[in-house]
Amino acid sequence: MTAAALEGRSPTQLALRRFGKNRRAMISFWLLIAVGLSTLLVPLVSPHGYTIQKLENRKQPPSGTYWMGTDFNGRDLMVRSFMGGRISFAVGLLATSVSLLIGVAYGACAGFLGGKTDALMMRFVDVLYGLPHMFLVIIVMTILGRNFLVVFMVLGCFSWMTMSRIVRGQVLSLKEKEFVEAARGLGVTTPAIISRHMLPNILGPVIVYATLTVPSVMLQEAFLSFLGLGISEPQTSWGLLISDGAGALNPLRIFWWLVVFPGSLLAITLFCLNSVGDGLRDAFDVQQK
Amino acid sequence: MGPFLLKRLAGGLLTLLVIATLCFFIIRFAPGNPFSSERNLPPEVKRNLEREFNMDKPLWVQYQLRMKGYLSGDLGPSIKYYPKRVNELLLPSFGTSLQLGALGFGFAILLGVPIGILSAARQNRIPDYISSSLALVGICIPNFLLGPILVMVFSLSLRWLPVAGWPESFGGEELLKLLLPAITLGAVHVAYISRLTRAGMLDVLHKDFIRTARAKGLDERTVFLKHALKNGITPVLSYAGPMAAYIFTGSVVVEKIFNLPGMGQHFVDAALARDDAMVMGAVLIYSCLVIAFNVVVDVGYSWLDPRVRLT
Amino acid sequence: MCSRSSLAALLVVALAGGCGKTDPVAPADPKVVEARKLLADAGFAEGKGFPKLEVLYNTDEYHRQIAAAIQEMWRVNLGVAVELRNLEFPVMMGMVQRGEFEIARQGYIGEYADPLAFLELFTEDSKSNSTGWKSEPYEALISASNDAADPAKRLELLGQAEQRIGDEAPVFPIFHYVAHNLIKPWVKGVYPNTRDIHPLQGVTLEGAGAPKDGVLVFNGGAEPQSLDPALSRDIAGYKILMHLYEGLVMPDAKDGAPRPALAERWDLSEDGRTWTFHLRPAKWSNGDPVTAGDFVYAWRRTVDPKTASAYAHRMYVVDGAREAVKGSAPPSSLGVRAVDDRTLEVKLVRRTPYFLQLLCMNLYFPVHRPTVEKFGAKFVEPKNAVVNGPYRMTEWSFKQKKVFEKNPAYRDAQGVKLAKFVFLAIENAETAFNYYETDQCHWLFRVPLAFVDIQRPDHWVNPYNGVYFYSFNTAKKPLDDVRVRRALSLAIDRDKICRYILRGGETPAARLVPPTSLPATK
Repeated sequence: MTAAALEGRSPTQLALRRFGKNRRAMISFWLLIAVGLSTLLVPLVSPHGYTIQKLENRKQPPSGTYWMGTDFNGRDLMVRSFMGGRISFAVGLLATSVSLLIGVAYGACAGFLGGKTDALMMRFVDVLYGLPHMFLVIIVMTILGRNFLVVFMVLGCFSWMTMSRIVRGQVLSLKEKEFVEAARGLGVTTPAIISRHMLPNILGPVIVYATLTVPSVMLQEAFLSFLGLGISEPQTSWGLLISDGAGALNPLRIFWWLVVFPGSLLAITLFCLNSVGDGLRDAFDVQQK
Repeated sequence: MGPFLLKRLAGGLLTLLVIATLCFFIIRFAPGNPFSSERNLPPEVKRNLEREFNMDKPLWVQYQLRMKGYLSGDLGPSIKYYPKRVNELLLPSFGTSLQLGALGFGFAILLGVPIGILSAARQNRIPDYISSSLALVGICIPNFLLGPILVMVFSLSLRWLPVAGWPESFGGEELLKLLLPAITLGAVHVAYISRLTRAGMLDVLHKDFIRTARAKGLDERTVFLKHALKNGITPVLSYAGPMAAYIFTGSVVVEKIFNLPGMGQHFVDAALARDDAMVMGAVLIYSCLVIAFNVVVDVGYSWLDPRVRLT
Repeated sequence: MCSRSSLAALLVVALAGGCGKTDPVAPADPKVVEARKLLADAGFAEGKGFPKLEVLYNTDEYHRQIAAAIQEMWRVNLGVAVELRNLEFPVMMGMVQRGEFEIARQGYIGEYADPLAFLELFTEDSKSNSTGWKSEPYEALISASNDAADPAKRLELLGQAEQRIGDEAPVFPIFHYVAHNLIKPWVKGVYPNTRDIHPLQGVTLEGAGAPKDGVLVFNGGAEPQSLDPALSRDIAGYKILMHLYEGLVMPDAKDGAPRPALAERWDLSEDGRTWTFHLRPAKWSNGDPVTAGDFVYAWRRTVDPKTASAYAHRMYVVDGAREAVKGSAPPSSLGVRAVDDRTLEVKLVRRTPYFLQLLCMNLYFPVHRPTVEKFGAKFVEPKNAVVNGPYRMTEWSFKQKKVFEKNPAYRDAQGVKLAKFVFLAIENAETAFNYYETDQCHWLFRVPLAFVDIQRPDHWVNPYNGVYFYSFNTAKKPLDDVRVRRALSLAIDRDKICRYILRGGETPAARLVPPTSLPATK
């Protein structure tokens, strides 16, 4: 036995190894990377610009020049779909970051402070849970206007609740563990306890739920854009593209590519994100009752 | 009514109060509100609105009066369609939204639970795989994508089903119009409910009292339906509450796709037009619907699980 | 708001980075070259420093595609970026009326086939002039044309006025309309005309496929803004009001020209300024007789500043109307009087050859005074309304259907062949089309873009007396600068829009007045 083999592995590393063994999760992971890279590369590489309208080529089915066909104003659908992907991903990641920040901070505080403060903070979360979430998002968007910044900030601000509950739960249970008492006994300061002892242990569930928040937020953004309350022209997002496609449905000519291509990209992305999240959840063996 | 139900009802009313308060403050103070100088309303409209909102009285009194108004069911005047009131603009479509919501809700439960039971009974066999695949599809194909696809396939290409509209009567032909909206609205939830039922049933099936029932010689069907179901279905009921909120949110999109005369269309138009009063009125109505559904679910919960009643 | 949207813009630019491919602009297009020069002269070379303006349009695929095309043309040709915003039609109209806009889509259908119908929109008096543009020379030309006795001279002056609009561009026209109607083959008694006005009384439903209940369902295309004859100014409103009320003259089913209605005959004085109408006996739906006094009351109400009718300027041909609307004279000074119950005398400001066409408009309809006085604004509701037209409204629901049934008190109730019809307010053309294809609707006044170039026997196409244009709010910088407006107007390729987006035979509009209102095509 070599020294290397005796090296201890942290729970995180062990979990990631478990994840690596999960075939479905790994395939999803690579597929996700592929889609993500495409959103960056395809618009750069493609000969078509995403706003360039060639009115003579409107609503054409997929062909040699236009691999995914064109939309109602003669724009290349492929480039638009991937540009839309950029916005969808961006909103997803940024909103999740916002919700992470708020959720972790809130949950850690609640868990750590405990007692009445904790109860009050969690009661507040309960009330928020009871409100019909999307409608509130729509209200705020109505008031603040519909630009990109507002969209992800607002979505982030309405998604942190579950994360805070998870974090609080973890912090509560960790608080009572012996190693924390030991650290306290040794005179380690509270901030040090939080950063060195607690955070690494809550990292697992946080990663899992962050990964699961991304598709949820992307879906919400797509929902808003579908209704015309989210991203606006000439930017685009998957929701907006699907909405355009749905609006063009008529019995005479079925412009299927307008719905199928952006829709498939959205579906694949959501599926992969959920699989990866599930895989991570299994790998970290997170118990959520 | 048991303490459990009372607690839940109180919670629901508290939520409504929070929303109604939000309504008041948003209409009064949000940036770009009708009383600010930014908004260019005709002077008579502005004057009348100020009168409606009792601007001459102190803020606390204004709030009380508005809350009293809401309590008596008056949702105030619309800003864009003045002098029409929010009630008269929204209430005609309220019935449709309610029915659509109930349709989606019922569809999800009536289809989801049996599939879940079947999956639990035939674990790891074909029905199980079908249900878990459906669940996957449900998660990654949102309702606003599923709807157009269903319309493209079943209405436009195959011409089996009508394209859009709300049934005018109770005839078979007319009721077919409800099929695609119901599927679109409930599909995701069918998936979740079937998985939850399956998990719940499996959980329960390992319990001792089931073993006893089997030992007693009862056949599988009775075991399943009479003994296991009651307990196995509890996770579904926990989900059914939040599901009501999702169903009503989803109904806005379904109404747009199938051109159904519900509140969703008015709500979106009002949001685009910055008619704060109508937006908040719609939100209040939707919230009431969600809370009402939640109460129904809670009643079902406490009936199924007597232990709950006593907490 | 400013910093927030610039931060947002920054983020989006970062995301869009690496993708700003611009098509090489056809440098040969002289109009674009001129547009760029004008923009540079105004201080915005290459679009630098140009603020981000908002373009309003009413929610519809067709308007959206045109707006998106215009947005892109400005971006590519001028480097100017604008934002698009869609609203429902009545809301947008309200905002435009109040000047709460920067650039907005408009459409105008001439009430009478004469250039003045369009040019009058931009006079100082016109409440429909939301652009805020005023021009003394323009007013002078219009006045001069009104005084011109020689028709040729008159048209020449009007032509000069139209040229001013082109030069100063308070609006920029895009195309002249073509009317598309989809009518089920079993609907009889319908005739295409350039006003696209179709009174339904004479319509019958016969032939295979006609509904057994004999009810015609048609899509009016939008929720009417108002059902008050003095206030209504949209087409959906007119389609309803022309069936609820009857004026002195009404449009004929065959060509939309005025034919005697409540007025049996009329006399015109030598100087062409005094019209005397002799009314037929008729009753309101509650049994009261329709009298000349009802017209006097209604017309005075229209010009009453308290009614605040945005359409009142269409009554300025009547003596005293202008003063009444401005508030400098009481409404009772209006040049209309009831000689007796069945004789109405109208005094005009000048000879007005198209006066009969004007009389077909809803603001000249009579209203039932006791009802208006009793119910105020609510007099239009079905349960309160008292009407004198061939139909009564029996059902009204917001954005859904409105039901109309034959009015038994109508003076020619026997002549009304269609007993009942339903008006739908579906704005979305695709949805309406679906309804038509599934027989839930029998008549569409607009067809979805996917359908416009399809030829089918039930698809009627004919020139329509209207122009589709975009309005500038000249009160907002930099739209107050003529060069900016002209640049924006020149940078649009109207031909492309007509050929590829519309494809229905619409004609690109180089000028405001459509050919249907000009003598050559009459």
